[in-house]
Amino acid sequence: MSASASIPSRVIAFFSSFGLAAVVLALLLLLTFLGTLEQAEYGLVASQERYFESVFVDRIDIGACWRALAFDHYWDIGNIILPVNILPGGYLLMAILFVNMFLGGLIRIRKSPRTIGVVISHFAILFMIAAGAVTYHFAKEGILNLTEGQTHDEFQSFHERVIEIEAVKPTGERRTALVIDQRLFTDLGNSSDHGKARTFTHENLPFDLVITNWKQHAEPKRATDVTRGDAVDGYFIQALSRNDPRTGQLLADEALSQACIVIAKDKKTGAEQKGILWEYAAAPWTATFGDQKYLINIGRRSYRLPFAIRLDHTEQEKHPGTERARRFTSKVTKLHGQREEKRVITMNEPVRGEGYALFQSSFDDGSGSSSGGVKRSGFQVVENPSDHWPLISCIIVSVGLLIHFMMMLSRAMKWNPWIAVTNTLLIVTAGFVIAYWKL
Amino acid sequence: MISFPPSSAATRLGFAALIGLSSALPSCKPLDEIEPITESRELSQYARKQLVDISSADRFYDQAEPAEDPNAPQQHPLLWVTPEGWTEKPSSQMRLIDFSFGPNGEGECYLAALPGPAGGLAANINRWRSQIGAPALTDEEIDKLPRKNFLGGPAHFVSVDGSFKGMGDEASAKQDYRLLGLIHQASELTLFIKMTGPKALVEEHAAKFDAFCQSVQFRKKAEKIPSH
Repeated sequence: MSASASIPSRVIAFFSSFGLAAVVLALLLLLTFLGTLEQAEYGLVASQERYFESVFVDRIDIGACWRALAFDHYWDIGNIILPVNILPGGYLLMAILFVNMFLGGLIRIRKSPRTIGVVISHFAILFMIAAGAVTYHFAKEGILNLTEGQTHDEFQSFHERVIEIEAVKPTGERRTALVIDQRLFTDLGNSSDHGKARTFTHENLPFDLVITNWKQHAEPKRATDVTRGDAVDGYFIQALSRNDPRTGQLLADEALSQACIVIAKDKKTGAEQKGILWEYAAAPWTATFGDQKYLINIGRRSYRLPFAIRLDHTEQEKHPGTERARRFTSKVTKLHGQREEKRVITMNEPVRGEGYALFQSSFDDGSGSSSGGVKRSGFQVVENPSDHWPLISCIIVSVGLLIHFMMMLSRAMKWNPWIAVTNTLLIVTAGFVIAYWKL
Repeated sequence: MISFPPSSAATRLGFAALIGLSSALPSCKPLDEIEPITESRELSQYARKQLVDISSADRFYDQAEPAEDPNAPQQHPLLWVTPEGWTEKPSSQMRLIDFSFGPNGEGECYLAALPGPAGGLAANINRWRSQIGAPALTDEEIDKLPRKNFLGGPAHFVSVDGSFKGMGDEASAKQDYRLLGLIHQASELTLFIKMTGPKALVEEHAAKFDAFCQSVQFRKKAEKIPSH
C-alpha cells in the first residue's frame, strides 16, 4: 500500500485486515472464556446478555471466574470485579467480524480459481453471522404449558416481561390489552430511591398509570407494621435475593418474580388507586373508574400462534426397573379453525409448521402433591426465521473447503483441477440426494 | 493478499469509528415523564377468564389469618337470625346455638352438631320420638318423612306430640308437648335443630322455627379463586 493512500482506502484496509480479524477472534475467545466461567455463578441468561449480546462488557467478575476454575481451592481471592467498559461485547465484535470478512474475504480477496473455495467458505461464514443477527433480533422463543385436554394458541416468553391493562368486558366480547414493555420500567428499580416513577397514558384510558418501586425479584409480604409507608392494601414488596439459598448461585431469569407498585390516577379528578403487581400473583389487580373495571397485571410477554394446540394425551416411558424417564411423548391436535391435524411431539422430534417449532420441553405425570393427578406437558415454542441458516451455512462451508482442498490436491497431483472439483461436487451432491431421500 | 494496515493514523481512525458506534447504545428513559402506551394485543379466546376484584390476600396466596387479638371475642362458626321474642342463651359444647321462649321460658330450641353420621338418621329420629313417648318408625316410614331446606340441602323434618320426658324418667314427663326437629347429615358432621315446648306454644312459634332454620348459615370464608 502506498504512503499516499486516501483516508477511505486506509479505513477499508484497516477493517479488512488480518490484524483486525486476529484481534476480534482473540477477543471473542476471551469473551467465550469469561462468559462461560461467569455462567457458573450468574446463570446462562445473565452471562449471555453481558458477554455475547452486549455492545460493551460493563464489568468482569474475576472472582467468579477464579472460583469457576476451582483456583479458590488453592488461593481464595474473594470478590474482585473489574468495572470494564472498554472491552467490546459479542454483538460489537461479531458486527466488526462481519465487516472484516465481507471486505477482506469477499471484496478484497484475490479472485482466482485457486481461491474459489476460500471465497465460498467466507460467504458461508458471513451467512452464519447474519443468521445469528436475525435470530437475535427477530426470533421469538417461549413456553406453552398445557394440561391434558387443554387448548391454547399463545406462548409466553422466557425472559421478556410486560405490564398489561385490560378493560373488563362481558363474556364473549373480544378482549384486548394495552401493553407496556419492560424496557420502559425496569430502570425504576436500579436504585435504593423508591420514589422513582414513570407515568404511562393512553387516550382510551380514563386514568394514567404510574409505575414505581419496581423490583426484579420480590414477593409481597403482609405489612404487620401499620406505620409502613410503602404498604399498599396491607402488603409491601419484599426484595428477594437473586442467589439460590441452597447453591448460592444466581437464579435463572425464568425463576425471578418481578413486582412493582402501580398508581391509577383519574385523569379528571386526580383521585388515586394504588395496587401491587406481582408476577406470580393469582389474579390481576383491579382498578375501578365509574362503572368500568380494569385489570392490570405484570407477567411474561405473550405471543400468538397461527394455530391452536390441544394436548390430547401424554405418555412417559421409563428406563426398565427405574423411575428415570427415558422418553416423554405428547399426542396433540393442531387446530386451524375447523380443521384438525393430529401430531406427535416427543423428545428431539418437534412439530414444525408455519414458521414455528414446538419441542417437548417438560412433563408432569400428575403424581406430585400439587399436580392433583393432572398430566401436563410443557412445549418450548421457537419462531426463528433463520432456523435452518446455520445448517445451510455449515454445508456451504464444507463444500467451499472441499473445493479448496481438491484444488490444492490436484495441483500437487498434477490433475486437472476443474475435473477434480466437478467430480467432487457431483459425489457430494449425490450423497446429499441419497441422504435426503433415505431420511 | 491483504496487507496489515501500516498506518497508525488509519488505526486511530478505525478505533475512533468503533468508539463512535458506542454512541448508538440505547439510553435509559428519563424519569418522571409521561410515556404514551403504543402497544396493544388481542387476547386469545383461550386466555384465562377475567378475575375481577380479587382481594390482595387471595392474589398473593396469603392463607395466614390475621394475627389474633387475644381480647377480641371469638367468632361463632355459624350465622343466624334470632327470632323476635326468643332469648339467646350462652352456647355450650353440646349446643352451638341455644334459645328459650315463652312467658316463662318453657319453650326451648337449640342447634347441636355431632361428628360423622352420629349414630345414623333412624336412631336419632327414634331417640327423639322415644323422648316424647312416640313409637319408633321403620326405615320406610322415616324415608317418607317430609324434608325442609336447611343449609342448602334437604333435612328430615320431625314433628311429634306427646309427653316429653327428655333425658329424664317417665315420672318427670311433661304432658301435651310438641317436638319439632330437623336433622341434616353432611359429609363430616350431623346437625340437629330441636325445638320442644307446650304444644300450643310450639304451634305459636312454629313459623319462627322455620325462619330460624332458614337463617342458619356457615360464616363465609374468603372465596376461592377459580382454577384454570
